[in-house]
Amino acid sequence: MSTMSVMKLSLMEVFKKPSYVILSLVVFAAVLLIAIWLPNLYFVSHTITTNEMAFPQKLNLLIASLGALDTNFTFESKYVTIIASFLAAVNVSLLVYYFKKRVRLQKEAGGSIGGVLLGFLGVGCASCGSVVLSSVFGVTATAGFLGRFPFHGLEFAVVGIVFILLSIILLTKKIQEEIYCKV
Amino acid sequence: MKQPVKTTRSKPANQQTNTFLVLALIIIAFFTGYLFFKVQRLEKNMNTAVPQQQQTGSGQQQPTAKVNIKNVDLKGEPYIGDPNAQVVMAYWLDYQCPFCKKFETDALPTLIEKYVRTGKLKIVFKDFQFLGPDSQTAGLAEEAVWELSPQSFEAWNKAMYEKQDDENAGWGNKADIIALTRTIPGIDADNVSTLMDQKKDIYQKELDEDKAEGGNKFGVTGTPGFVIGDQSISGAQPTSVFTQLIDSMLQKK
Repeated sequence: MSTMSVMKLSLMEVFKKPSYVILSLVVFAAVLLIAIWLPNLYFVSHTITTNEMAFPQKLNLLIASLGALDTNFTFESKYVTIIASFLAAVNVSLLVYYFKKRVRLQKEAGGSIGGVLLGFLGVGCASCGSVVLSSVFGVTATAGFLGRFPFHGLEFAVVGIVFILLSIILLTKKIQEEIYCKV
Repeated sequence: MKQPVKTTRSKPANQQTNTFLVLALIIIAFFTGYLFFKVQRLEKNMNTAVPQQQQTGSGQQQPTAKVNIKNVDLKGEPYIGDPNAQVVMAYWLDYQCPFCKKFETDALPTLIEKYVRTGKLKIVFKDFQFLGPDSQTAGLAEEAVWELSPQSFEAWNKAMYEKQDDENAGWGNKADIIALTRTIPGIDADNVSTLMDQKKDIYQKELDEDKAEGGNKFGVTGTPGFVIGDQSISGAQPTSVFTQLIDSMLQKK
Protein backbone atom coordinates (compact mmCIF):
# COMPACT_ATOMS: atom_id res chain seq x y z
CA MET A 1 0.00 0.00 0.00
CA SER A 2 1.33 3.44 -0.83
CA THR A 3 2.18 5.99 1.87
CA MET A 4 -0.73 8.16 0.77
CA SER A 5 -3.20 5.28 1.09
CA VAL A 6 -1.84 4.38 4.53
CA MET A 7 -2.14 8.01 5.63
CA LYS A 8 -5.68 8.23 4.31
CA LEU A 9 -6.69 5.02 6.11
CA SER A 10 -5.19 6.10 9.41
CA LEU A 11 -6.60 9.61 9.26
CA MET A 12 -10.06 8.22 8.52
CA GLU A 13 -9.71 5.69 11.34
CA VAL A 14 -8.76 8.39 13.83
CA PHE A 15 -11.00 11.24 12.78
CA LYS A 16 -14.18 9.24 12.38
CA LYS A 17 -14.29 9.54 16.17
CA PRO A 18 -15.65 12.97 17.19
CA SER A 19 -13.45 13.07 20.30
CA TYR A 20 -10.32 13.26 18.12
CA VAL A 21 -11.83 15.99 15.97
CA ILE A 22 -12.52 17.96 19.16
CA LEU A 23 -9.01 17.25 20.46
CA SER A 24 -7.53 18.53 17.20
CA LEU A 25 -9.61 21.69 17.31
CA VAL A 26 -8.55 22.37 20.90
CA VAL A 27 -4.85 21.79 20.10
CA PHE A 28 -5.12 23.91 16.95
CA ALA A 29 -6.66 26.80 18.89
CA ALA A 30 -4.11 26.45 21.70
CA VAL A 31 -1.09 26.44 19.37
CA LEU A 32 -2.46 29.39 17.42
CA LEU A 33 -3.10 31.36 20.62
CA ILE A 34 0.43 30.66 21.82
CA ALA A 35 1.83 31.80 18.46
CA ILE A 36 -0.10 35.07 18.62
CA TRP A 37 0.45 35.78 22.30
CA LEU A 38 4.02 34.55 22.79
CA PRO A 39 5.63 37.95 22.07
CA ASN A 40 3.12 39.57 24.43
CA LEU A 41 3.08 37.36 27.50
CA TYR A 42 3.40 40.36 29.82
CA PHE A 43 0.47 42.08 28.12
CA VAL A 44 -1.68 38.93 28.35
CA SER A 45 -0.83 38.10 31.96
CA HIS A 46 -1.22 41.71 33.06
CA THR A 47 -4.58 41.98 31.32
CA ILE A 48 -5.78 38.83 33.05
CA THR A 49 -4.54 39.77 36.53
CA THR A 50 -5.10 43.54 36.67
CA ASN A 51 -7.75 44.91 38.99
CA GLU A 52 -8.13 48.04 36.90
CA MET A 53 -10.40 46.42 34.30
CA ALA A 54 -13.74 44.66 34.50
CA PHE A 55 -14.01 41.10 33.18
CA PRO A 56 -15.84 42.07 29.95
CA GLN A 57 -13.16 44.70 29.27
CA LYS A 58 -10.42 42.13 29.76
CA LEU A 59 -12.17 39.66 27.50
CA ASN A 60 -12.72 42.26 24.77
CA LEU A 61 -9.09 43.34 24.96
CA LEU A 62 -7.76 39.78 24.70
CA ILE A 63 -10.09 39.00 21.81
CA ALA A 64 -9.02 42.21 20.06
CA SER A 65 -5.37 41.22 20.46
CA LEU A 66 -6.00 38.10 18.35
CA GLY A 67 -6.20 40.47 15.40
CA ALA A 68 -2.40 40.59 15.67
CA LEU A 69 -2.43 37.57 13.37
CA ASP A 70 -3.28 40.09 10.66
CA THR A 71 -1.30 43.10 11.83
CA ASN A 72 1.80 41.61 13.39
CA PHE A 73 2.57 38.75 10.99
CA THR A 74 3.87 38.93 7.47
CA PHE A 75 1.76 37.32 4.75
CA GLU A 76 4.03 34.26 4.69
CA SER A 77 4.40 33.88 8.43
CA LYS A 78 0.65 34.12 8.95
CA TYR A 79 -0.10 31.18 6.67
CA VAL A 80 2.89 29.17 7.83
CA THR A 81 1.68 29.62 11.42
CA ILE A 82 -1.85 28.48 10.56
CA ILE A 83 -0.58 25.45 8.61
CA ALA A 84 1.88 24.46 11.35
CA SER A 85 -0.81 24.82 14.02
CA PHE A 86 -3.16 22.62 12.01
CA LEU A 87 -0.51 19.95 11.42
CA ALA A 88 0.50 20.03 15.09
CA ALA A 89 -3.14 19.43 16.03
CA VAL A 90 -3.37 16.44 13.68
CA ASN A 91 -0.04 15.15 14.99
CA VAL A 92 -1.18 15.25 18.62
CA SER A 93 -4.45 13.49 17.83
CA LEU A 94 -2.64 10.73 15.95
CA LEU A 95 -0.17 10.30 18.78
CA VAL A 96 -2.93 10.04 21.40
CA TYR A 97 -4.85 7.58 19.23
CA TYR A 98 -1.78 5.45 18.61
CA PHE A 99 -0.85 5.44 22.29
CA LYS A 100 -4.36 4.42 23.37
CA LYS A 101 -4.59 1.76 20.68
CA ARG A 102 -1.29 0.28 21.67
CA VAL A 103 -2.13 0.26 25.38
CA ARG A 104 -5.42 -1.47 24.64
CA LEU A 105 -3.93 -4.12 22.38
CA GLN A 106 -1.02 -4.80 24.67
CA LYS A 107 -3.39 -5.18 27.64
CA GLU A 108 -5.42 -7.68 25.63
CA ALA A 109 -2.23 -9.57 24.89
CA GLY A 110 -1.24 -9.56 28.59
CA GLY A 111 1.43 -6.88 28.44
CA SER A 112 1.93 -4.30 31.15
CA ILE A 113 1.47 -0.56 30.93
CA GLY A 114 5.10 -0.17 31.99
CA GLY A 115 6.16 -2.28 29.04
CA VAL A 116 4.12 -0.12 26.72
CA LEU A 117 5.73 3.03 28.09
CA LEU A 118 9.19 1.54 27.79
CA GLY A 119 8.36 0.48 24.25
CA PHE A 120 7.27 4.00 23.55
CA LEU A 121 10.57 5.34 24.73
CA GLY A 122 12.30 3.00 22.36
CA VAL A 123 13.98 0.81 24.93
CA GLY A 124 12.29 -2.41 23.90
CA CYS A 125 12.05 -1.82 20.21
CA ALA A 126 13.94 0.67 18.19
CA SER A 127 11.39 0.68 15.44
CA CYS A 128 8.46 1.51 17.73
CA GLY A 129 10.51 3.97 19.71
CA SER A 130 11.43 5.94 16.64
CA VAL A 131 7.79 6.81 16.11
CA VAL A 132 7.47 8.46 19.50
CA LEU A 133 10.78 10.19 19.10
CA SER A 134 9.69 11.57 15.77
CA SER A 135 6.44 12.77 17.31
CA VAL A 136 8.39 14.54 20.01
CA PHE A 137 10.53 16.04 17.25
CA GLY A 138 7.33 17.34 15.72
CA VAL A 139 6.23 19.04 18.92
CA THR A 140 9.71 20.43 19.57
CA ALA A 141 9.87 21.79 16.06
CA THR A 142 6.51 23.46 16.60
CA ALA A 143 7.77 25.10 19.76
CA GLY A 144 10.96 26.15 18.00
CA PHE A 145 9.14 27.84 15.18
CA LEU A 146 6.74 29.56 17.56
CA GLY A 147 9.65 31.02 19.48
CA ARG A 148 10.99 32.65 16.35
CA PHE A 149 7.80 34.28 15.18
CA PRO A 150 6.63 36.91 14.31
CA PHE A 151 10.14 38.27 13.73
CA HIS A 152 12.86 36.44 11.81
CA GLY A 153 13.27 32.75 11.15
CA LEU A 154 10.83 31.64 8.51
CA GLU A 155 13.37 28.87 7.82
CA PHE A 156 12.62 27.35 11.21
CA ALA A 157 8.93 27.40 10.46
CA VAL A 158 9.40 25.54 7.20
CA VAL A 159 11.71 23.00 8.86
CA GLY A 160 9.15 22.70 11.66
CA ILE A 161 6.40 21.93 9.17
CA VAL A 162 8.57 19.29 7.49
CA PHE A 163 9.24 17.71 10.91
CA ILE A 164 5.57 17.59 11.76
CA LEU A 165 4.70 16.15 8.36
CA LEU A 166 7.32 13.42 8.76
CA SER A 167 5.99 12.73 12.22
CA ILE A 168 2.45 12.43 10.85
CA ILE A 169 3.59 10.07 8.09
CA LEU A 170 5.40 7.83 10.57
CA LEU A 171 2.46 7.80 12.96
CA THR A 172 -0.09 6.98 10.28
CA LYS A 173 2.12 4.11 9.13
CA LYS A 174 2.48 2.81 12.68
CA ILE A 175 -1.26 2.99 13.26
CA GLN A 176 -1.79 0.63 10.32
CA GLU A 177 1.09 -1.68 11.15
CA GLU A 178 1.29 -4.59 13.53
CA ILE A 179 1.92 -3.65 17.13
CA TYR A 180 4.59 -6.22 17.92
CA CYS A 181 8.08 -6.30 16.58
CA LYS A 182 8.82 -9.48 14.73
CA VAL A 183 11.69 -11.53 16.11
CA MET B 1 2.05 -19.21 26.84
CA LYS B 2 0.44 -16.24 25.28
CA GLN B 3 1.36 -15.56 21.74
CA PRO B 4 1.42 -12.02 20.46
CA VAL B 5 -1.49 -11.34 18.16
CA LYS B 6 -0.10 -10.35 14.83
CA THR B 7 -2.01 -8.37 12.30
CA THR B 8 0.67 -9.63 10.00
CA ARG B 9 1.92 -7.36 7.28
CA SER B 10 5.54 -7.90 6.39
CA LYS B 11 6.64 -5.07 4.15
CA PRO B 12 10.24 -4.55 3.18
CA ALA B 13 9.12 -1.53 1.16
CA ASN B 14 7.64 -0.01 4.27
CA GLN B 15 10.84 -0.65 6.20
CA GLN B 16 12.75 1.11 3.46
CA THR B 17 10.40 4.06 3.69
CA ASN B 18 10.83 4.11 7.46
CA THR B 19 14.60 4.12 7.09
CA PHE B 20 14.33 6.95 4.61
CA LEU B 21 12.07 8.96 6.90
CA VAL B 22 14.33 8.46 9.91
CA LEU B 23 17.35 9.47 7.86
CA ALA B 24 15.45 12.53 6.65
CA LEU B 25 14.66 13.42 10.26
CA ILE B 26 18.33 13.16 11.23
CA ILE B 27 19.40 15.36 8.30
CA ILE B 28 16.75 17.94 9.10
CA ALA B 29 17.79 17.85 12.77
CA PHE B 30 21.35 18.72 11.73
CA PHE B 31 20.04 21.46 9.46
CA THR B 32 17.93 22.90 12.28
CA GLY B 33 20.89 22.77 14.63
CA TYR B 34 23.02 24.60 12.07
CA LEU B 35 20.39 27.31 11.60
CA PHE B 36 19.95 27.70 15.34
CA PHE B 37 23.70 27.97 15.87
CA LYS B 38 23.96 30.53 13.08
CA VAL B 39 21.18 32.70 14.49
CA GLN B 40 22.73 32.52 17.97
CA ARG B 41 26.11 33.57 16.56
CA LEU B 42 24.60 36.45 14.59
CA GLU B 43 22.76 37.67 17.66
CA LYS B 44 25.94 37.40 19.71
CA ASN B 45 27.84 39.42 17.12
CA MET B 46 25.11 42.04 17.09
CA ASN B 47 25.31 42.37 20.87
CA THR B 48 29.09 42.65 20.71
CA ALA B 49 28.92 45.36 18.07
CA VAL B 50 26.54 47.44 20.13
CA PRO B 51 27.58 47.16 23.77
CA GLN B 52 24.93 47.21 26.49
CA GLN B 53 22.31 46.27 23.98
CA GLN B 54 19.95 43.45 24.51
CA GLN B 55 18.97 40.66 22.22
CA THR B 56 16.91 41.92 19.37
CA GLY B 57 14.58 40.31 16.98
CA SER B 58 13.35 37.28 18.91
CA GLY B 59 10.42 39.10 20.42
CA GLN B 60 10.37 36.74 23.38
CA GLN B 61 11.98 38.74 26.16
CA GLN B 62 9.40 40.10 28.54
CA PRO B 63 9.64 42.95 31.07
CA THR B 64 11.47 41.72 34.17
CA ALA B 65 9.73 44.06 36.59
CA LYS B 66 6.40 45.87 36.79
CA VAL B 67 6.05 48.27 33.92
CA ASN B 68 5.02 51.86 34.48
CA ILE B 69 5.15 54.78 32.07
CA LYS B 70 6.34 56.94 34.99
CA ASN B 71 9.62 55.04 34.90
CA VAL B 72 10.26 55.76 31.21
CA ASP B 73 12.74 58.56 30.60
CA LEU B 74 10.65 61.04 28.60
CA LYS B 75 12.91 64.08 29.02
CA GLY B 76 13.92 65.66 25.72
CA GLU B 77 12.26 62.93 23.65
CA PRO B 78 10.22 63.76 20.53
CA TYR B 79 6.50 63.65 21.20
CA ILE B 80 3.13 64.63 19.77
CA GLY B 81 0.14 65.80 21.77
CA ASP B 82 -0.52 67.82 24.89
CA PRO B 83 2.53 67.68 27.17
CA ASN B 84 0.15 67.28 30.13
CA ALA B 85 -2.16 64.73 28.52
CA GLN B 86 -3.96 62.27 30.81
CA VAL B 87 -2.44 59.22 29.15
CA VAL B 88 1.14 58.88 27.93
CA MET B 89 2.34 56.22 25.51
CA ALA B 90 6.02 55.53 24.88
CA TYR B 91 6.64 54.07 21.43
CA TRP B 92 9.97 52.42 20.50
CA LEU B 93 10.48 52.48 16.76
CA ASP B 94 12.84 51.78 13.88
CA TYR B 95 12.36 53.79 10.69
CA GLN B 96 12.98 50.70 8.56
CA CYS B 97 10.68 48.38 10.48
CA PRO B 98 7.70 47.27 8.35
CA PHE B 99 5.61 46.57 11.45
CA CYS B 100 6.22 50.13 12.66
CA LYS B 101 4.95 51.26 9.27
CA LYS B 102 1.92 49.04 9.78
CA PHE B 103 1.28 50.73 13.14
CA GLU B 104 1.90 54.20 11.68
CA THR B 105 -0.53 53.67 8.81
CA ASP B 106 -3.21 51.55 10.54
CA ALA B 107 -3.47 52.50 14.20
CA LEU B 108 -1.64 55.82 14.64
CA PRO B 109 -3.98 57.99 12.52
CA THR B 110 -6.94 56.84 14.65
CA LEU B 111 -5.04 57.48 17.87
CA ILE B 112 -4.05 60.95 16.68
CA GLU B 113 -7.57 61.81 15.59
CA LYS B 114 -9.35 60.42 18.62
CA TYR B 115 -6.94 61.09 21.48
CA VAL B 116 -3.96 63.27 20.52
CA ARG B 117 -5.98 66.07 18.89
CA THR B 118 -8.38 66.08 21.83
CA GLY B 119 -5.54 66.47 24.32
CA LYS B 120 -6.05 63.08 25.97
CA LEU B 121 -2.93 61.29 24.74
CA LYS B 122 0.73 62.17 24.44
CA ILE B 123 2.83 59.85 22.26
CA VAL B 124 6.55 59.87 22.98
CA PHE B 125 8.87 58.55 20.25
CA LYS B 126 11.71 56.43 21.61
CA ASP B 127 14.44 55.09 19.34
CA PHE B 128 15.16 51.44 18.78
CA GLN B 129 17.12 51.75 15.54
CA PHE B 130 18.51 48.24 15.08
CA LEU B 131 17.96 47.33 11.44
CA GLY B 132 21.20 48.70 10.02
CA PRO B 133 22.90 51.86 8.74
CA ASP B 134 19.78 53.44 7.23
CA SER B 135 18.00 53.11 10.57
CA GLN B 136 20.87 54.81 12.39
CA THR B 137 20.92 57.66 9.84
CA ALA B 138 17.17 58.10 10.20
CA GLY B 139 17.57 58.17 13.97
CA LEU B 140 20.18 60.92 13.77
CA ALA B 141 17.94 62.93 11.44
CA GLU B 142 15.01 62.46 13.82
CA GLU B 143 17.04 63.94 16.69
CA ALA B 144 18.04 66.94 14.56
CA VAL B 145 14.49 67.56 13.29
CA TRP B 146 13.14 67.45 16.84
CA GLU B 147 15.81 69.86 18.05
CA LEU B 148 15.25 72.35 15.22
CA SER B 149 11.55 72.09 14.38
CA PRO B 150 9.48 70.14 16.91
CA GLN B 151 6.26 71.55 15.45
CA SER B 152 7.02 69.78 12.14
CA PHE B 153 8.10 66.49 13.68
CA GLU B 154 4.74 64.75 13.19
CA ALA B 155 4.67 65.55 9.46
CA TRP B 156 8.33 64.56 9.06
CA ASN B 157 7.79 61.26 10.87
CA LYS B 158 4.78 60.46 8.69
CA ALA B 159 6.71 61.27 5.52
CA MET B 160 9.58 59.01 6.63
CA TYR B 161 7.28 56.01 6.97
CA GLU B 162 5.51 56.76 3.70
CA LYS B 163 8.90 56.65 2.01
CA GLN B 164 10.07 53.45 3.72
CA ASP B 165 11.49 50.72 1.47
CA ASP B 166 13.11 47.35 2.23
CA GLU B 167 15.82 47.17 4.88
CA ASN B 168 19.01 48.98 3.74
CA ALA B 169 17.90 48.60 0.15
CA GLY B 170 18.10 51.79 -1.85
CA TRP B 171 16.34 54.73 -0.23
CA GLY B 172 17.43 55.89 3.22
CA ASN B 173 20.93 57.37 3.23
CA LYS B 174 21.59 60.88 4.52
CA ALA B 175 21.12 62.55 1.13
CA ASP B 176 17.76 60.83 0.65
CA ILE B 177 16.53 61.84 4.09
CA ILE B 178 17.66 65.45 3.70
CA ALA B 179 15.92 65.61 0.31
CA LEU B 180 12.73 64.35 1.90
CA THR B 181 13.14 66.79 4.81
CA ARG B 182 13.21 69.69 2.32
CA THR B 183 9.65 68.81 1.30
CA ILE B 184 8.32 69.22 4.84
CA PRO B 185 7.23 72.80 5.61
CA GLY B 186 8.84 74.45 8.62
CA ILE B 187 12.10 72.52 8.65
CA ASP B 188 15.45 73.94 7.55
CA ALA B 189 16.91 70.84 5.89
CA ASP B 190 20.42 72.33 5.61
CA ASN B 191 20.49 72.93 9.36
CA VAL B 192 19.28 69.38 9.94
CA SER B 193 22.15 68.12 7.81
CA THR B 194 24.67 70.27 9.66
CA LEU B 195 23.40 69.16 13.08
CA MET B 196 23.52 65.50 12.03
CA ASP B 197 27.27 65.93 11.47
CA GLN B 198 28.09 68.28 14.32
CA LYS B 199 26.17 66.43 17.02
CA LYS B 200 26.53 62.93 15.65
CA ASP B 201 28.10 61.51 18.81
CA ILE B 202 25.57 63.14 21.12
CA TYR B 203 22.63 61.97 19.00
CA GLN B 204 24.07 58.47 18.70
CA LYS B 205 24.39 58.29 22.49
CA GLU B 206 20.72 59.26 22.81
CA LEU B 207 19.70 56.59 20.30
CA ASP B 208 21.70 53.96 22.17
CA GLU B 209 20.30 55.03 25.54
CA ASP B 210 16.72 54.80 24.27
CA LYS B 211 17.36 51.34 22.92
CA ALA B 212 19.10 50.12 26.04
CA GLU B 213 16.33 51.53 28.24
CA GLY B 214 13.64 49.78 26.20
CA GLY B 215 15.46 46.46 26.25
CA ASN B 216 16.76 46.45 29.80
CA LYS B 217 13.78 47.92 31.66
CA PHE B 218 10.71 47.31 29.55
CA GLY B 219 11.34 44.08 27.65
CA VAL B 220 11.44 45.76 24.24
CA THR B 221 13.31 43.35 21.98
CA GLY B 222 11.89 44.37 18.64
CA THR B 223 9.85 47.10 17.09
CA PRO B 224 7.34 48.51 17.51
CA GLY B 225 7.27 48.30 21.31
CA PHE B 226 4.97 50.26 23.60
CA VAL B 227 4.46 51.19 27.20
CA ILE B 228 1.05 52.67 28.03
CA GLY B 229 0.35 53.25 31.70
CA ASP B 230 1.29 49.98 33.36
CA GLN B 231 1.02 47.90 30.21
CA SER B 232 3.72 46.73 27.84
CA ILE B 233 2.81 45.81 24.27
CA SER B 234 4.99 44.25 21.62
CA GLY B 235 4.37 44.44 17.90
CA ALA B 236 1.85 46.05 15.60
CA GLN B 237 -1.38 45.31 17.43
CA PRO B 238 -4.84 46.04 16.03
CA THR B 239 -6.12 49.58 16.57
CA SER B 240 -8.82 48.35 18.94
CA VAL B 241 -6.19 47.05 21.39
CA PHE B 242 -4.80 50.58 21.75
CA THR B 243 -8.19 52.29 21.89
CA GLN B 244 -9.55 49.88 24.50
CA LEU B 245 -6.46 50.28 26.66
CA ILE B 246 -6.49 54.08 26.40
CA ASP B 247 -10.23 54.22 27.07
CA SER B 248 -9.84 52.11 30.19
CA MET B 249 -7.05 54.39 31.41
CA LEU B 250 -9.08 57.51 30.72
CA GLN B 251 -11.98 56.02 32.69
CA LYS B 252 -9.66 55.42 35.61
CA LYS B 253 -8.54 59.02 35.83
